[in-house]
Amino acid sequence: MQDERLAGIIEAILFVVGEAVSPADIAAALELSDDQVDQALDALEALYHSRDRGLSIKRFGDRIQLTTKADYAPEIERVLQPIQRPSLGQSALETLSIIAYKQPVTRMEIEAIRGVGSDYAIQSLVSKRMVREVGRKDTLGRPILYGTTEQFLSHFGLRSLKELPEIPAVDEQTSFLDEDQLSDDYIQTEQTEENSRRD
Amino acid sequence: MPSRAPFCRFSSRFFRFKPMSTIHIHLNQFEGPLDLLLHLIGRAKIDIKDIFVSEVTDQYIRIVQEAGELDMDEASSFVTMAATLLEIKSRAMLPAPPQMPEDEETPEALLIQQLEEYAQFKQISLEMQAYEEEASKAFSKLPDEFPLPQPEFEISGLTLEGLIKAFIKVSQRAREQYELAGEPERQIEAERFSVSACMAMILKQPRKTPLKFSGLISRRASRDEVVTVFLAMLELMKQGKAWARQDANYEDITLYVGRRKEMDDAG
Repeated sequence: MQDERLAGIIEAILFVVGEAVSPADIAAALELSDDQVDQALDALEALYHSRDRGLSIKRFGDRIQLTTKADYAPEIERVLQPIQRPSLGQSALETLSIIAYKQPVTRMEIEAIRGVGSDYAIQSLVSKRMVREVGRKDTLGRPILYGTTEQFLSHFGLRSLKELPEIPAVDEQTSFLDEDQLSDDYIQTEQTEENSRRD
Repeated sequence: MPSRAPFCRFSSRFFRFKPMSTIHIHLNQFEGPLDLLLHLIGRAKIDIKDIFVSEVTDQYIRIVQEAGELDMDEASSFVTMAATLLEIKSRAMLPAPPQMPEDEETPEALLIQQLEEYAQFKQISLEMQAYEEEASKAFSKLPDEFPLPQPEFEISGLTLEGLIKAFIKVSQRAREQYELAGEPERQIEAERFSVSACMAMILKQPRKTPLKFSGLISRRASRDEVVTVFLAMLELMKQGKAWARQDANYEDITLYVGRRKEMDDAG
């Protein structure tokens, strides 16, 4: 009983807040233990998961946020026109991937991998709050070190950096080069796989 | 074209069998030279490792040559890569030096390594795009405007002594942090001379004999002192309270307090 009530309270708080909050902050404000809040959250998540509810709890870093279920996106878009967050361009995605796996990393190190100047891409990622300065490297010129943010995890639906896709082995990665056409087609096959997995 | 040199055969075949529209590759379609090289490798259906035994490097150089006008910023990385490829090609034509250590990193090996690493991240960025797409399907709402209550601060029972103690503590902590960070302590000296004080000092001097500039400053004057006294002298002259004479460059300056006319009349 007590737990169910707490799950309802947390649901109500998440609804009002809208943006991401940390469960620890909720626990502190309600004078409850972190465990109590975690248990109630698990109960709420199970409820959302088992029944045909439209909402889900998105977790990233140490934050949680109430969102709609991804499955219902087509129907939502038929009724409403939610403002789509613009997706990142190719140079931003490449730069962000390198930062995500190699962090903390300097601009020079990123450019050594990409073989092209990346200042603009980095600055645009910083302004989108996907990456931030995390310190200075202890070498000549003390260059800025970049790392990813919680906003980055949220944007890609990752709970933590551990959920990043595995780096493909050098032998494997050439397989996508064998494809007759690159990039666009590759992404499409990737998505249909994703869909079939869900169905 | 019978006159064409045989080593061009591969590239000319490549260009002949593709319709014009696909031959004309715009460099700004690519995220730099590595991206273009990977694209060519993909079209040639070869392994990255085989790049130097394929026509890909020739294709690359040709594409960059034919690119025409380019933005300098964009072009430089493409041109640099073309130069690297040409260097590698020209080295390959020369006989290998007799004592070539086997494990030495050749430009070929370095470029292959770079291409492989870049291909890995290109692959990852494609996967990330799928993640991004999936995550964009979950919508969230904007926060309701529920202002948090104003935080309350307990400020009763404060004393001046307590504040001073707290300040000393904070500055001690700040100093410790500076020392930890290896930040050198900076010393800023208080201003010891001011123009107005020096002006007053000059005006107070006994006026019976003309003043010497060297006599106005102390024997081991700092640069600060010399400059300030000099400025004070200039200010007095501007205000018409003194005038000065110097017989030659770098000579001592003689300073007369009072208006010049009076002094001339007197003299």
